[in-house]
Amino acid sequence: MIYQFKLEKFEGPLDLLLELIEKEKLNITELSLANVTDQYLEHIKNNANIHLDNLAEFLSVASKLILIKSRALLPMLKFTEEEEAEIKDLTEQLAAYKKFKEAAEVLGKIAEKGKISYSREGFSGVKSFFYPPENINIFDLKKYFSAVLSEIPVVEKLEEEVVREVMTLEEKINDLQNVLRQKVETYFSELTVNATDKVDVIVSFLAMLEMVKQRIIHVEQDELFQDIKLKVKTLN
Amino acid sequence: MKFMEIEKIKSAIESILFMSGEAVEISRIMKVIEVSKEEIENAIIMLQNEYVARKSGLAILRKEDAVQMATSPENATLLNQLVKSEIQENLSKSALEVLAIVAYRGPITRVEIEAIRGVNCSFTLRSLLMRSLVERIGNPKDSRGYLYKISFDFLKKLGVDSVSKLPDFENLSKDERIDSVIGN
Repeated sequence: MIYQFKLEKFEGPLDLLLELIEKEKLNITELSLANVTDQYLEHIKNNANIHLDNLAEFLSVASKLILIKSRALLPMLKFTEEEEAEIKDLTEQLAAYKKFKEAAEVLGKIAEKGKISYSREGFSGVKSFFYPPENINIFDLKKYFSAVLSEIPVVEKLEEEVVREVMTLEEKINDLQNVLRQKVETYFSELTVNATDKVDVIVSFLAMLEMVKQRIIHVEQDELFQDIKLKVKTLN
Repeated sequence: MKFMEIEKIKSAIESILFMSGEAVEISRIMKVIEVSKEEIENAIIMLQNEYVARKSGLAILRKEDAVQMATSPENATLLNQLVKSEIQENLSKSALEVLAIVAYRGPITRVEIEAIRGVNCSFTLRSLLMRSLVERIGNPKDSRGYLYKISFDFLKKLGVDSVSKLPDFENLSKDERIDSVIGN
C-alpha cells in the first residue's frame, strides 16, 4: 500500500500545545493550559497553511482552551458537567500524548542503532507438490474475483460547492464611505437596496455601527423601525 | 586478520547460517568475519558438538567447503507432518481470493495483490506456492521481485488450457477498479 507522509511543523493541536507548555517549563495542569491559550490562538492565527483536515481539530482544542482561560480569569464562572468533562479530557489527553511522544523518541533512538534481528522466509527449501483444492471450478474463481472487485473502495467524487465570496466588514465600510463622500447624507434603505440576501444587510448594518463607533458618521432614526439616516460627521 | 574471541566467532557463524538458510562457503564466512580459516573450522566443529550434546533441534551440516544450518534428522517425521498439514489444509477464503486475483490478473507482483486486497498476502502466497497452485517467475522490471501466475497443473485441473478461457475473462481482467488501486 502506498502511504503519504506529511511533515508539518506540528502534527496536530496536542503537539503544539505540548510544545508551548514545555517551553514555559510548566506541568500539564488546567492552569498552565490557561497560561498558553493566547500563544496557541496566536499560532493558529498566524498559520494560514494549517491543513483543512487538521483545522477542525485545532479549533476544537482552541474552544476548550478559551473555556479554561475564561474560568482562570473569572473563578465564579460555573461550568456545565459536559464542559467540566471536556476540560478534564483535554488535560488527560495531553498527558497521555506526552507519554507516547516520549516513548516514540526512545523507540527512534533504538531504531537508529540499527540492531536488527533478521528472520527468514518460512518453509524455505521445502519442496512444493501439487495439492489442488477439491471441487473447485472456474466459476468459483470468477465468484471470488468478483468478490475482490466489489470490495475495492470506490473513491467518491464529492460535488464541488462554489464558495460564495462574502463581503468583509472592512470592504463594506469602505463602500459606505464612498457613498457618503458623494452624497454627504443617505438612508440605510438606500444602502441595502441592492442587497442580495440577509447577510449583506447584516454586514451593512454592522459597518454602519462600526463607523458610528469610530465617529466617522452620525445616525438618526425618528421612530422604531423607521429608516435610518446616515450623515458624515463634520469636523468641529 | 582480526582477533576475535571464539565465542564471538561461534555466535557470528550461527547468525550467518541461520539467515542464509542455504549452504555457505567457508571462504565467504571468512570475508565477513575476517578471522583465519582454522578458527572458523574450529568454531564450526564446536557448534556441531554443542548441538549434538544438548540434543538440539538444529544441526550444522558440512559438505566439502560449505556449511549449512538445518533441522536435526531426529525430527524428520514430525516435520513431514507439519508440512503435510500446511499443504492439506483447506484453502481459506483469502487464499481463494488471492488465487482468483492471480488467475485473472497474473502475472502480477505481490505488492499489487496486496494493494488490491489491502492486506499482507505473503503467507497466503507461500501456501499457494507450496501447493503448486501458483508459480513465480522473475520480474523483468525488478530483479529483486517476482511475478506470480497460475500454475499450468492447476489450469488443467480446472479443465481449461489458458486463463483467457476463464468465465468473463475479457471484462473482469480489465476491470478499472483494479487499475485504480495498483496505479497503471
